[in-house]
Amino acid sequence: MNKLNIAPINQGKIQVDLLDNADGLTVKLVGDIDMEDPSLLLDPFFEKVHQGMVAGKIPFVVADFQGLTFLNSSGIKAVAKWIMKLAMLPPDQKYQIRIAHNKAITWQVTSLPTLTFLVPGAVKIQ
Amino acid sequence: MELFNTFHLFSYLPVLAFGGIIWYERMRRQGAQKRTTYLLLSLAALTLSAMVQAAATLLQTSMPFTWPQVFVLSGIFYFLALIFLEYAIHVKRIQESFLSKDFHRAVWGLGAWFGLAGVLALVVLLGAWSWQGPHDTFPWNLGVSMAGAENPILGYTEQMRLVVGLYSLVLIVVALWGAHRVFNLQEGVIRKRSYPFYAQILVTVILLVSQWMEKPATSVATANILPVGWFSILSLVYIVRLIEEFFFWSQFQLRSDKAKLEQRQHVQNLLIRRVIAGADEEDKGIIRELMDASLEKVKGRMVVQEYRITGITVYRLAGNVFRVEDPGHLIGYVTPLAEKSIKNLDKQKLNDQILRTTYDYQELRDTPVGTLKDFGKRLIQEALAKKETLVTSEVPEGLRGLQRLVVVVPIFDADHVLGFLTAFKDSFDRLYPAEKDILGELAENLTTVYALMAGKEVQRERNRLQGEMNTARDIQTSILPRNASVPGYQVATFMETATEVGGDVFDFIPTPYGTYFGIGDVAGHGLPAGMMAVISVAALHGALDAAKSLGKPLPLDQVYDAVNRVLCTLNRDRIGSDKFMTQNHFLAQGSTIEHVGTHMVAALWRARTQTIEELTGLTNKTGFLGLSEHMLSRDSLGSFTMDKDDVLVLYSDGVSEAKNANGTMFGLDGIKHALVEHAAQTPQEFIQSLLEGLRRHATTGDLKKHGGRFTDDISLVVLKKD
Repeated sequence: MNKLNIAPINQGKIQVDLLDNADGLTVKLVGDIDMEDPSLLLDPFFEKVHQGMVAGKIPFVVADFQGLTFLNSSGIKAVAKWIMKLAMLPPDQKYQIRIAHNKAITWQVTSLPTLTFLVPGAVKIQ
Repeated sequence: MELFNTFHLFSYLPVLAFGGIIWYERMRRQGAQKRTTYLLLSLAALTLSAMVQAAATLLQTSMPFTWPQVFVLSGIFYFLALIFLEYAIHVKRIQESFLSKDFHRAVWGLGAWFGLAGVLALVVLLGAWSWQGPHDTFPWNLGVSMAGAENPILGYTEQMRLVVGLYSLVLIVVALWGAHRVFNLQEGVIRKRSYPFYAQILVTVILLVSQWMEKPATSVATANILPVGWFSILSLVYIVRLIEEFFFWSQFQLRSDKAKLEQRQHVQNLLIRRVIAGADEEDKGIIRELMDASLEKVKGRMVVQEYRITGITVYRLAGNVFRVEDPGHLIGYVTPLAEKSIKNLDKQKLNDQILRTTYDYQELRDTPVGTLKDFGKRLIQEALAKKETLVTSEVPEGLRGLQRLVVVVPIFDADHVLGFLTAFKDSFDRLYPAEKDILGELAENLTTVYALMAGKEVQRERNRLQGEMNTARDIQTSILPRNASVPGYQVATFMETATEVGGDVFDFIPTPYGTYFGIGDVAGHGLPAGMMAVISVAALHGALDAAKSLGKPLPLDQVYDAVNRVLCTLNRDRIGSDKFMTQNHFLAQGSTIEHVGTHMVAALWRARTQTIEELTGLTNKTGFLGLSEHMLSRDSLGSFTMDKDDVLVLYSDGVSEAKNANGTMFGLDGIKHALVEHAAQTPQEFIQSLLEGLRRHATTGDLKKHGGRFTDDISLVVLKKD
């Protein structure tokens, strides 16, 4: 278990886990998200991460998509909703999402960089 | 005669063997136990008859029997064999037709006569004990003094002739009773046969006369032996009867059942054709016809008309409620399943009450069986729960005097409840099996009709939805510009939507400050994607129109951001859609084209150098539209120039991601290849050439998989500089 005590998601082809790393936390997404409404799984998970990040004043979290072979539009929307939460935070509570992506996977190359534009300064591609 | 007797005795063997086989075969069948019991009793009686005759013939004087004893015992055993055989044949029909009481009454009458025959037979049997002794004392002399007679045997024979004569008379009465009274039930209920009884009378008379004609014996050694060969007539009759009923009629019944099954199938097929081809309003008429036909069939099958079903009602489950759909679905004399008295209501008022009465399916389904107080609800609930026909003569106070029997038949399609029908009898409290069959057949036909009606309703709803989808798709395509043009350029466009509403869009908007044009694609498909595309076009037009009204050009990035904010407000926040979209907006002013947004890498054919430039700045420089109002597109601004014969190809991902059989996408390479081959063509010709290549690529892949259509919308915008 991680420092925020958030349980992993392990359902079907989807594995999402929050891992501790030396500098902070890593949200690791693995598998294939093509279900009809992944927000049912992802939204509560990201909300807990967000609350934990804010409460713990953790400066950044790595969103590691490298093992995720597919993420449908609803899944991208769920990630976008998480990013949008950062826009509402006062400056002293803001943290950064650092996206780790795999350049060999087309959807990651075309979609993930655009997430950096949603809330200026909130997301960075590693 | 001796040979005849011997032949007759051996003839019992095949008769009993055949009867035994039939008994064994019947016994193994389910539901035929009663018939086998009486058939076994019949065969046992026949065996006893055979044993008596065989013993008397073979052992002769070693037995205390002479012709009178053989005569009466054989006659009685044969008659028992016959009566048990007939009962074995008819018992099922007698019971199913509720005629057991009538039958038993007739059997009691027969029993009285048969008892008398038995007493006389007993006298004959007791007479055998006097065979070896004096016959001149009571009771052996039957009250006639033969004291001093020279030939006591002669006296015995005379006595036996007298008693056997009386016995024969009684047996003839018994046989006539059997022929005319015992099985003389309602016509059509059983296949009554009188000839076995007449055969018994015939043989009795023949044997009696033959023995009366014989000269009386003068000693034990010369006592007459009955010519049992005559009983072969009865054996023959017995086996004919056995074959007729248990073999011939069984076969006939099987053929008849098969024919009935084929007829039912035929009726079902006709019904299916009629319901499918008929208009919706005709369906109710078809149900009425089925009900009428069933009642007619009942009339045709019932012998006693006043005992038949007198009315039928059909309830259909619509939504969560059972109700009679049409006044035409009440036929004959029907009443509500009422607890309270309805005796003061005339037929019209009764029908009105039935039409007003509904039954809540959820209540019937969720309430424990047997706990509902209302008579009708309780009955219907039980029939639905058991999925079988429920018959009751225990009608509540309110129905007494009006109905004597209520039947509820559930209508199911597998486990799916479609409705139920109720049937009534006002003069009889039992349901004949034939009537139950007819009601079952009606329920089966109604299952077909209701299932087809439901199918037609689903199809109608599907057509309506398809119509709405077509309308939605029409909206998506109808908002596209009729005449796409950019001054100084040849322009051609193309869009083919996928099977459902997609989210591709392109537009050309001339303004005093240049021509704005753009291309975009909503992530995903369906109506929400189409709606988002439409909102984005409306927002683009609104922004440019406002700028035109203000009399000053609106920077391209501000147009893009305005569209984004509108999408965030309307599509994300108000509609709650999870869709987002990619777009590139362009502003053409002479040979310079500015661009903004993120969509797909475009291909630009440079005519002078015959090379292709990939416009990578068209993607990944800003965010998707409709996700964040905080997003700004300024950093995605860029521009390029086009010289004479340069060709710009803009496309949606439906083009680049079209797959072949191996899963290989058409890709930007496919577009570039088309440019190399066909860049000299007009934009319209180029699009056709590119589409041919695209179709060739996807023929064994996406097109094959989706019945000749692409997986995603296909959009192309091609500009060629004059």
